[in-house]
Amino acid sequence: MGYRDRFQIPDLGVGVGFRAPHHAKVLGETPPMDWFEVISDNYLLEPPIPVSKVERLRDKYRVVPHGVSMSIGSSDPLDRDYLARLKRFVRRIDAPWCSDHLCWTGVDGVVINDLLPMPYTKEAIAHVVERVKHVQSTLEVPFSIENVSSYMTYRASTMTEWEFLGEIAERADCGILFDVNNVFVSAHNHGFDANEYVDAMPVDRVVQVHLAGHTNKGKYLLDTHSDHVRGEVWALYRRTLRRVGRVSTLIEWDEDIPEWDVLAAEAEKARDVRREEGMPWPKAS
Amino acid sequence: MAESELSALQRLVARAALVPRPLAEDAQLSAEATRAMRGSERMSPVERLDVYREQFWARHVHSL
Repeated sequence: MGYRDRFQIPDLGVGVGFRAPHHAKVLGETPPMDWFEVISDNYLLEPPIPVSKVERLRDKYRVVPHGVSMSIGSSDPLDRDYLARLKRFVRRIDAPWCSDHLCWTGVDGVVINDLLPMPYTKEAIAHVVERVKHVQSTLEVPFSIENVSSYMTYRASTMTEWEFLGEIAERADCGILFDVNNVFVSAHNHGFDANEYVDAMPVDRVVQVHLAGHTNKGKYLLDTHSDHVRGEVWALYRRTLRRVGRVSTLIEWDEDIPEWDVLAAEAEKARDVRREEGMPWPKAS
Repeated sequence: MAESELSALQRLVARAALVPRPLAEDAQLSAEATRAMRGSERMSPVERLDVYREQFWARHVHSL
């Protein structure tokens, strides 16, 4: 039995990130939206931002937490206090699963605040696998790792990014949050075939998909989440759906955040693709 | 105990990210980046690592 079936991972449809400019509208008017993703780190701070806002959101919609600072790939020890706080948050909002990035964000106690790429080596795989196992057993909900956009690769790497991601997911027995825009950005920046990446994914482990816009900086693409999803990324999303099947999809828009109606229309485009691929949501009975 | 390859690479990237000027102006770091990172026809290893340095300082300034 595949990962998604074993953990009964639901298809939540198409959602968006719960971002400050839309809090009042979403909580006050409850506009149509299949589900929301919240950045868990925002609610783990000291002093904490009140979780009550997320609890109010959870009373109206399905909510999934997504992290940006676990630093699962760092050579520093895992932050056990951070994990304990994350566990409390995940329980409090009754999350069906949670996720963070396959990357590192700092070392020797210095926080770089970026999603820094890993060297694709056997040493790094062994390191991350043990940490993912620890995180999963601590959180007691299915945990997924997300592929990041990258702008550099290491000479030490001995395999492709998709081989690296796939082997970690298999050995750690975790899910994959498959960011289609990140695949496109990294493929452009490093000159690999994005389709090959999509085709190599262990489909039963993909529990969620991210879609976002990026910025062309001339020599490279930068993952900015500041614009509409590009046509090439929609095509890659369609290819992903054909391989993965019904999967929860999220539109990320974190800079130059537009009016709610623009964001909701972007989510509707993803629903259109799902309908065209025979994967409407809610699923026709 | 010998430093692991993973630790060594992460320490190099962290050191580079915190430099307040373009890495190309730092001969030592440029040499280390060229040994550790891959380049391409479009971007050198130093330019690629410098993307992360630029982003670090852009966030830093933005948060002030």
